[in-house]
Amino acid sequence: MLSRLIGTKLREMRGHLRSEEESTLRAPLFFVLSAIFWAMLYRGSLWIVNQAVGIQPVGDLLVQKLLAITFLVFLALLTFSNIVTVFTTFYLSDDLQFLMSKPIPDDELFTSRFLESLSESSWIVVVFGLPIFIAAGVGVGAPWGYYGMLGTTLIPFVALPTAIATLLALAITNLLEATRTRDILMFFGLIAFTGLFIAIRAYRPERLLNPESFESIGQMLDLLSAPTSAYLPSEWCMQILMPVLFNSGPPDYWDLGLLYSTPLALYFISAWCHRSLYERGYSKAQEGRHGPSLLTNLRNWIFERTESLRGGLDEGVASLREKGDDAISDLQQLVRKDQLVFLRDASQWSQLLVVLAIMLIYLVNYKYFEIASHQKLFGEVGLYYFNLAACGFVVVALAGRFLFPAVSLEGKNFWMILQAPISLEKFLTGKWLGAMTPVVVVGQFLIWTSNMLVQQNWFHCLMGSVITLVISIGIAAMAVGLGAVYPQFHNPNAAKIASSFGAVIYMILGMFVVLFVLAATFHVTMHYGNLASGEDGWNIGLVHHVVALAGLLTPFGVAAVSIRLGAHALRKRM
Amino acid sequence: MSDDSASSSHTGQPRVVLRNLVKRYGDFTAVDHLNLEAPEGQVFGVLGPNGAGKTTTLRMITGLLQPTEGTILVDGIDMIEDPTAAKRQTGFIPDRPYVYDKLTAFEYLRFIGGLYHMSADKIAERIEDMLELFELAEWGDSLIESFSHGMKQRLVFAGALLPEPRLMVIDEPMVGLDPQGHHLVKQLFQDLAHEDGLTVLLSTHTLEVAEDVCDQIVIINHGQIIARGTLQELRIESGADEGSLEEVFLALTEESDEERAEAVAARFGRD
Repeated sequence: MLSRLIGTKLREMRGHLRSEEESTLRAPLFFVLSAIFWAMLYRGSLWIVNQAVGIQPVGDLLVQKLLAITFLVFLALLTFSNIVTVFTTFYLSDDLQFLMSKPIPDDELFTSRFLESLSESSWIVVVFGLPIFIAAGVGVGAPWGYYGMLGTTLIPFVALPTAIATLLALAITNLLEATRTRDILMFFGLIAFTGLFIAIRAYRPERLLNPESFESIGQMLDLLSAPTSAYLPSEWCMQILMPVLFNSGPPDYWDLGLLYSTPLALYFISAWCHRSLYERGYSKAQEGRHGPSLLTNLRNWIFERTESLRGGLDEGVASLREKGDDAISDLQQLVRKDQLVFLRDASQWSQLLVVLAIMLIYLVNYKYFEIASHQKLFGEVGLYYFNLAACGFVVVALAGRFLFPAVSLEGKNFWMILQAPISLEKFLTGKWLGAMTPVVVVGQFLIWTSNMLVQQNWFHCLMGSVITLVISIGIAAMAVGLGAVYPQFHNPNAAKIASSFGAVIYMILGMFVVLFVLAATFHVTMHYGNLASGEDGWNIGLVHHVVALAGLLTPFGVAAVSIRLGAHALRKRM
Repeated sequence: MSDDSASSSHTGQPRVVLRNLVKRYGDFTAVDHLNLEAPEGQVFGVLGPNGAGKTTTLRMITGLLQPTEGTILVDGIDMIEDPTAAKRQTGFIPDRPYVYDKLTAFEYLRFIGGLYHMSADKIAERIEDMLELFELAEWGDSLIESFSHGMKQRLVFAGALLPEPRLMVIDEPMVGLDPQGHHLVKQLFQDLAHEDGLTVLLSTHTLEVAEDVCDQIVIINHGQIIARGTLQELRIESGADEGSLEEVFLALTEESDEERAEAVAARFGRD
């Protein structure tokens, strides 16, 4: 039975890949882009490892600390993505209605869902985490045994959060009122995010890049050699891998035992608990699907209280009459519809809190990086461009989360758009214009605040703003356009759409666009930036100005191409 | 009855013309060289067993699907060449009323009016008329998510009629409607066709509705038209002279297992 359940899932995936609705270029494109991104991540990680190794006498300890942070971040990411995935696969997935009505043994249903959650929530982390760990091995000159041990360590490391998440989800669906499950999910999301922030801040990673900020070498050694917590699986991985990485002895077999026995034990405990508690939890989760969440109740309250501001039916009709013969703009209606739907969807509100948290964390961390920039590692030019790139990546991530799923979220309502007398290009343009403003505002806020914080000169502030503006405009269109190339009309979960196959392609391409614009404008920005500071300009010519202009215009080209591609892909599906 | 004798009994000009319409999904032929003319001012029923190609045909007429081959003319406008202009003449009601449920009924209708580029005062007038006609005036300022299935269906009707289309395409109109809704809609179809001159193209499995309201009927099976005409003409063709539409339908679509297997194989290109 288990092999049948898993086999069905695999056949479903194969059918999806073979589907004629999807482009035949889909898999090769994904492979090529992923390979390029993977190689870039590897090169970047190798550079950092080499820099760290060069800082003597603490190079090895620095590499250890950076790897410990990486493991910790991955642990947090895996925990968060597993909680979201487990709720979907175990309690909310549409095929459960069919499976629950069939005589499938409890343990086999549990195991098939467990493996599905594990693969869904872990593959991105594993694929994109590997170049970092491999770079550490290459940078340090680790023996071959390190790479074998890395594989041995990562398997239980990714399984552990899945096992914890299944138990957590079982407890939540059984213990709490059904209608509160979504609120609890939001709560756990925020807790996980805050926990990650606190954990990383406790490391103060910027100090690791700036050894001179320590008062004495002893103080630095103390910080570097202190373990995080013996209870954290990320620390177990460190204890297993570090001796092998530095060829300094055998791995810690006690921690290896812990790393394997813990997820195994939790898996069996979870399977045992599921036998008696799963059906009750599943049933309550179905009730919770339809009840209003805390935020929906709040939305309803606001909706009722603002009726006088909004105006009722009579006021609406009267305001239309006032406009007389003027035709109502279709583009304006598309934008307005999207904005109303988004604002009234209370499930999106918690995501806005996450955006606020990202902005705050960004600015706080940026101030720390400024301290590091006074040293040789970064330099002022490096800091300025690091900030621009980071801002660009925040824009890519933000558009990926909110704009990429926009077309998919039309879902079953999409017939109205297809049947209406508007072109698909106009429909996508409406989505782009409607959602571009928040992305531009966040980008501008981040770039101005961060540049003001470190007192960049006026030209750098202005140029940073212009670069971020064109990037925001282009990336927003790219998110909408590629969201239409890889739509998931049957998936109502925006967070899952934002982490889908197409979204990964969008993220990689988006980062390329950001890096291209920054590279193209580099010389001109630095030349005039130096002049504005009263320093000598760079030696640049006409060609640098032309390249910079081309760089600034590229996002507009990207926007036009993305919208056309998106419309073309949607037409092909018809 | 042959395809080419289509409009022999029609009274008006053709509002919809389908010529050699084909829709293939890979090897599977859903609609196979279909020819049809639906005149103005008539309720035109499209019937057929499950998987016959009815919904695919209607969806191509409304621009929701693109044909693999063939021509669709709506009021003389080519749906492939100028879909925007053709869709401006068309209203569509799907079998399930999926609408933006975070909008109010008023906002939804204003949105539809905007998509059809209507003037503001015309939208205001039509919103009032439609909300009144479909008994939704009290709910005009409520979020659609609070509506029952039947109310949503009535709202979709209101939205489809708001821009005063010349062609109404309706897929399974009675799903989710209560008996009053049934009565209202059946009367509405006849009024729209016979008083306002619209062409109403409807696909349904509820043969009683088709019998009550359709001026003409086509029966599709395996992607092709197998019969067409008034109910009386179909009775004669099927040999069920005094029969109900159900008896006529069953007689016309009856086939042996071998015939069915052969037809399905042909649709998959395995002649």
